[in-house]
Amino acid sequence: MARYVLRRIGSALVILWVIISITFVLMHAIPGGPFTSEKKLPPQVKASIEAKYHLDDPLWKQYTDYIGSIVTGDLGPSYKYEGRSVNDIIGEAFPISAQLGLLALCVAVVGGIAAGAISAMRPNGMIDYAITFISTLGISVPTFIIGAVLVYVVGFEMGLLPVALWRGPSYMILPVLTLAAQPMAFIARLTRSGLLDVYQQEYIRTARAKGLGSWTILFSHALGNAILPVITYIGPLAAGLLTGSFIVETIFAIPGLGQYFVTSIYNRDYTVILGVTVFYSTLIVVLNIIVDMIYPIIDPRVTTEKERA
Amino acid sequence: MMNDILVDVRNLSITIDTFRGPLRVIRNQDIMLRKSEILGVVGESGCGKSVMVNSLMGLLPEGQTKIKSEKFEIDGENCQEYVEEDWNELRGTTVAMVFQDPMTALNPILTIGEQIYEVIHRSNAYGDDYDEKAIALDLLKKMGLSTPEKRLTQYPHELSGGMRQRVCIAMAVAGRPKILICDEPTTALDTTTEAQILRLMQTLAVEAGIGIIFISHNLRVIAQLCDRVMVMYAGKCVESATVEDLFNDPRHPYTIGLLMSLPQGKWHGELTAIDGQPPDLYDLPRGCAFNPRCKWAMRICGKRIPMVSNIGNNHEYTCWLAKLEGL
Repeated sequence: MARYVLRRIGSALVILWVIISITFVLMHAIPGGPFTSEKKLPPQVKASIEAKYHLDDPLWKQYTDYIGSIVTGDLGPSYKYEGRSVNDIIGEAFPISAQLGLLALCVAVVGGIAAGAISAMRPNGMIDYAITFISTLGISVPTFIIGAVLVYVVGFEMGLLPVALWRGPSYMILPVLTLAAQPMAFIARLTRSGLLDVYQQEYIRTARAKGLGSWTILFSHALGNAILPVITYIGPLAAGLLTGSFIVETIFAIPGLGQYFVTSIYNRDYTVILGVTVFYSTLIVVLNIIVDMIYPIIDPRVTTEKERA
Repeated sequence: MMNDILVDVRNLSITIDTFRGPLRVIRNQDIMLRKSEILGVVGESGCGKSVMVNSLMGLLPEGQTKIKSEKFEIDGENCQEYVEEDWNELRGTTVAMVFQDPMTALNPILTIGEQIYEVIHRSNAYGDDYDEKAIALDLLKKMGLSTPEKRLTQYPHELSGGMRQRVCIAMAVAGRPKILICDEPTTALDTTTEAQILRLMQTLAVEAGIGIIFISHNLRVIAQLCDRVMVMYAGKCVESATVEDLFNDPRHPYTIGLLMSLPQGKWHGELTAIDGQPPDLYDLPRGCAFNPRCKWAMRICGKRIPMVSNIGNNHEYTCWLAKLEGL
């Protein structure tokens, strides 16, 4: 197991290096730079600023310098937000995104599995049709529309919940729901089809022949087998939710990381683009490794490579 | 000896609703099983063997099946009005089942132990104070499984097919059932393992007094194992007798056909197959269902359903030929 994890970390480092390199090249391939603006700066001023940030160095030197500083954990200074380093920005904005994302993840997983299970208990019944309808809606309606509708109906017309900012539990409900809607609907569909498939299996008939009740069969025999595809989906989903959704953060004016990421690209804020990319990628890679390690716990047939040998 | 009778079903008819309309899979069938008795059920695929035994546990899909009977008693209890909850009481404790394919009958994500403990917990045969592990170990040992301690913590995929079927049987008898239904339990196994499993079944019947209904389409297995045999054709028993009577003195043309298609034994001459195809249950032939395939079919066979003839020693068969013999 330990060897397996080490190998995975090794390959993860290679992946990260490739991502950094590609991002670095692409970033510099876009015309313009952090200090290009509509109002032309005097050439001397521009040159001295660029010299300060080493932007006048040859590209390969900038690249090696950057890699060097990443290894020490320093993501560099932001070009746009003066006096703030990329580490500061991530440190400040990520906890908010992570909070939002974790809550949304919990809602999506718990709600989705519950809805899917209820659906599958009585397939083709009224409740199943209702859940299928709502989840199809949830999958196909874009997040910004769900967000806008929630803001308008719950926040504006009914006046029940605050519609912006991030100041406490009541502020969290609408953005979390908005962010969770799509994955929840998807997980509900996955769980439903997984369960219906599992209910056809012979071991469920065996469980029935043992005289087990339908709840015991659902929880100890069916669900574990049915949610395997859900687990696979949770890895990338968790990364996506944790790193913050630009759309949701914009709709609800939440000062999360997603916003910084998108605006940094407009601003050609090289270090922020790279820093956030590195941070995201690391998160995704780590979460994928975690999911792969959860797999054998739920499904004993899946083993890490070393055990198989 | 009334309380010796474990299963007493009279005039059972089962209809399944399908897309093509209602399908009568079991027609006016009696089933009788006594303590310690091993009842074999033979017949081609689709003749209703599995449906019939599944009905004894209430395992047929509710809503899609209609079950009618004059009498439906299991272990002395009338089950005609049973709903799912009542069947659940019965399952695992009074009636248990071993399925055909041990590779798929066990849950892949639960350990062998967990799957056996479930049954032990449900059973009230062990009182309030019991050691589930000791019971399970004892069961696995009786089933002849090597290193039972290790097996308890293993998952199904770590066991071979034969081992899994032993686990399935251990699981089935863990609730100390009075009736054990085995739906082709050895079909998926090799011959050596099959022989061991069959010996196990015999021990269960003799030592624990369990009544066993053993479905198979393998006559050789039936001959080795069973006390009595029911030969089924198109949802109805065409001949039932003790094993000795059935193999020595088969009466129904279908039984004779089955025995002649065996590669060895008393009826072995030139290997012959039964001509024709199993009947379409939606469109059964008039009269005797077997008449289009019967070598000795007479005119009356295509017109009227034959009656049951009893030639003594509970040897019954349903054929017009019996009339010719003056029975």
